Amino acid sequence: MGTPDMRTAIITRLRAGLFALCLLPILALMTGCPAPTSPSPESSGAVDPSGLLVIKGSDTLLPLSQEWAQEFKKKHPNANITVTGGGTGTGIVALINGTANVANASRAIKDAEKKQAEAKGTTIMEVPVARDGITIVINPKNPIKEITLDQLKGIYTGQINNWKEIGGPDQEVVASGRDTASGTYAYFQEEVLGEEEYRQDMISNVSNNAIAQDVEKNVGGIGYIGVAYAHEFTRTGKVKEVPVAFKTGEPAILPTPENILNGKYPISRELFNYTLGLPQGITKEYLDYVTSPEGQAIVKKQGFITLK
Amino acid sequence: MRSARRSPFAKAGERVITGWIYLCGFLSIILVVLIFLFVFKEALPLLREYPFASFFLGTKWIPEPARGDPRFGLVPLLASSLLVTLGAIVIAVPLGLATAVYMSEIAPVKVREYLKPAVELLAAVPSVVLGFFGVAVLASLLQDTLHLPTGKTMLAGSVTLAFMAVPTIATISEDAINAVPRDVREGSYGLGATHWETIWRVLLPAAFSGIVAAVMLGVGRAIGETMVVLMVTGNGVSRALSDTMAGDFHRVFATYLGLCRTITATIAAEMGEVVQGGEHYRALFMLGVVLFLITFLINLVADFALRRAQRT
Amino acid sequence: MSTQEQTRSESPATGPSRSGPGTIPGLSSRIDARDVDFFYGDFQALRKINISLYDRKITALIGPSGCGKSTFLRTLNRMNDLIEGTRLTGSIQLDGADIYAPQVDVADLRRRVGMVFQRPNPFPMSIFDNICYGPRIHGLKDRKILEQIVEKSLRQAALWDEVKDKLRQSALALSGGQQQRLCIARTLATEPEVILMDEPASALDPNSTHRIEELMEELKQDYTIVIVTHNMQQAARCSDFTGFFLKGELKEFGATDRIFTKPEQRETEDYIRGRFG
Ligand SMILES: Nc1ncnc2c1ncn2[C@@H]1O[C@H](COP(=O)(O)OP(=O)(O)OP(=O)(O)O)[C@@H](O)[C@H]1O
Ligand SMILES: [Mg+2]
Repeated sequence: MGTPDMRTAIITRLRAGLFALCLLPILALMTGCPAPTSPSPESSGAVDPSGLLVIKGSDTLLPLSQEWAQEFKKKHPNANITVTGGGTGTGIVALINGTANVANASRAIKDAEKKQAEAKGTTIMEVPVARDGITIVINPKNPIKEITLDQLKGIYTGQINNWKEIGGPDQEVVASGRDTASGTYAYFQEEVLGEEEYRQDMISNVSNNAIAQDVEKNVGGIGYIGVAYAHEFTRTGKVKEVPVAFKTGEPAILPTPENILNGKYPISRELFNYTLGLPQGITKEYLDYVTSPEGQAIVKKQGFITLK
Repeated sequence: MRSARRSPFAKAGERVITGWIYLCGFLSIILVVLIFLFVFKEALPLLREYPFASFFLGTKWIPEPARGDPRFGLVPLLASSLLVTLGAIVIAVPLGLATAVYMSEIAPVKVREYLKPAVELLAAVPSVVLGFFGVAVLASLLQDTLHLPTGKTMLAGSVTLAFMAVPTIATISEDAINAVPRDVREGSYGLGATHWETIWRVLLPAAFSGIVAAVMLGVGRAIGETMVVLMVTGNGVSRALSDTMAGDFHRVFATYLGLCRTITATIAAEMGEVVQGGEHYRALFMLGVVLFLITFLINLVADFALRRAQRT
Repeated sequence: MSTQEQTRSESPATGPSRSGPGTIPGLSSRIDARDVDFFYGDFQALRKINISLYDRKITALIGPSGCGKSTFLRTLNRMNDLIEGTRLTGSIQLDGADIYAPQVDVADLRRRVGMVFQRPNPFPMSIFDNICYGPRIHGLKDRKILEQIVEKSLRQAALWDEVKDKLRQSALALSGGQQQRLCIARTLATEPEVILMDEPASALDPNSTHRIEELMEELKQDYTIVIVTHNMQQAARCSDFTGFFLKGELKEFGATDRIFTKPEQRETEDYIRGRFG
């Protein structure tokens, strides 16, 4: 640069810029932080005089929960309900942290989470709201006809790395799953992996849609998606569902509503709503509505399976 | 006397403005210190529950295990972050510099007139949009051309981040090159240097501090990026990366063709689901501290480079 | 790049038929400018300049500010090519060859016709690297030889004693006058044949100025030197020929002794006596 002065000025400016750069990681941390929502801790789960209800959690339950809220509001025009996703873990944490009144969950609550609630002096109450199966999807080009629970476990823990190991083509396995906040992730780990750890190189996705895209793109891809969601992707032929058998030799079953309800389909689960303490006020009315025949009709309409 | 002519109000006003400027300066410093202290304070209790060495030397990040104790191993995340960034720098710096040199020295005036605003516009594209591009186009492209099992790779991350950094590097470097006084260029030509010799031996060295700034800002934007990386890298740990961590260092090149899981993406993906004050929460804040230290270190190095540039 | 239009003059460089204001018969010239018109866009900065610059002589160009001295100097090594929208007509020959001919290697021309600029313009690098810049781009790598060149050039430019212990330090840390001498040394290091100096002493103290003048006297043995100066004493002291520019025209040219004792033009006399400018 021309004069020493000018260079000094530029360098001083640079220093300032570099200094600002220090803030970046912090911003990353902040953007990742849970945004505090309106209800204060005292109001959670207890009588809510304002009629405000914050529901948060499972992405699987999100569309169902949104429709329930919508219908419920038609009956109770004063009710003010917000429903958001983010994953079961997120919902339960929000419940414990007091930023939600109801947690949508696609898995049963963990002991650790129960303890955290107890540490804060409350207990968590559980209400089953629907049933759901988990559809295993693979790429339409993959000729595999059926899969057993053991094989699924092998694939997702990393023992099985090529489809030829289970009678398929010579094609590397690309396993897609959800992120750790997802209830489906946790449920699948508990039921299918027998609580073993997922393979380290599983692609971790923040949505069911992203899983479907992965599987659509990768000939060796495999993914798990809740049945109500999976319809959307299997219908268009982007991915295909595989029948699942409990063991080799036993019949492989497709996740139809009947098969899920009668327990023949191996990977099915209950979906829950959780509250802090016994539900009261608007929360109670909402949960009563959800489990009523009217609420359960919506369950069926959306492709989930009703409680009874 | 000049001061006598100034009204006392003007004097007071001047003092107020000076004070205000000082205050702003101090505030920003204090703010940074406070934020760092906050992050550090949230992170520190982790070391009471979780051994220091297991955090800094651990090779597995399993924050919410189905069974047993969680593991907060920094190594895969740190390695991913460094490798992705390194890849982005390797791609973005030559590309950005070449663009800058082309814009300032080679392009005809007409081209320059349109090119510069276009590149500046590119710098303003929100990163999420680039992320979509990365997932929808780049990942598939890499998957098909390199015959990979999946296109979500560290390489895709590096390339996407490089895309984000190139416009910044290019425009700021171009400004720096343009700011080299005409006299200095003429000095070079006057000694019989060709256009290229002048660019290479005089303009680029003379613009060095500006170019360092450009690279820092460009790469800084890339380092701080969370969602894009999360989207295009698959947020997992590839086998090549596991092998590298196990000491098989020549596998490090293969890591670019596999998944990776950076520090920022991990924070972004997991921060929403942690219980405040829990071990996982503290571990994420510890990642924040590590990131802070990394950027701090990079700043020091850049500062050092600039000082050296200033001396010679 | 500027557009150059050549209108070739038929007459040979030193032809007596063309002994306009700028030619002295009987001396061998290195550079001959014939009917040079120069334009910055629409602005005509030089009008019909005819001048010859003689081998191993010092020619001083004088004239009021803005009269076109620098512009003319810069046409001699095609420095104006770098300015957008400039145009030159007429011809300039170096040793009888047109320097604006299309096949001319401009970089090589500039190596042969070196220039010291009006404002010091050291490169932002060490003193040593500044001096070595020219030799290096012309292919010299040998460290020993480079060191010799650096010492020789700095001694010639009367800077060696001041900087010999800090050759590795930034040239930008030097004072303005030191920077100017560095630029002179830098030009000498490339060993040009003709040296153009645009007010080389304007930033120098009397002592350094004196040394630069001594240097020119010494360089005259081997080089052709053209110097622009506002310092009448300097022009009178150290030049052999003087050209007086006014409003883009070469008003008068001749042996320095004559110009300063018996100027032919009224304007020249007024200027030299300090009556305007
Ligand atoms: N780059 C340029 N573009 C347009 N006009 C210019 C440019 N450089 C110089 N001129 C004009 O050309 C004329 C001659 O300028 P020049 O620099 O040659 O004067 P000079 O005799 O060297 O003056 P000084 O003694 O002040 O250095 C002036 O009128 C000036 O305004
Ligand atoms: Mg001038």
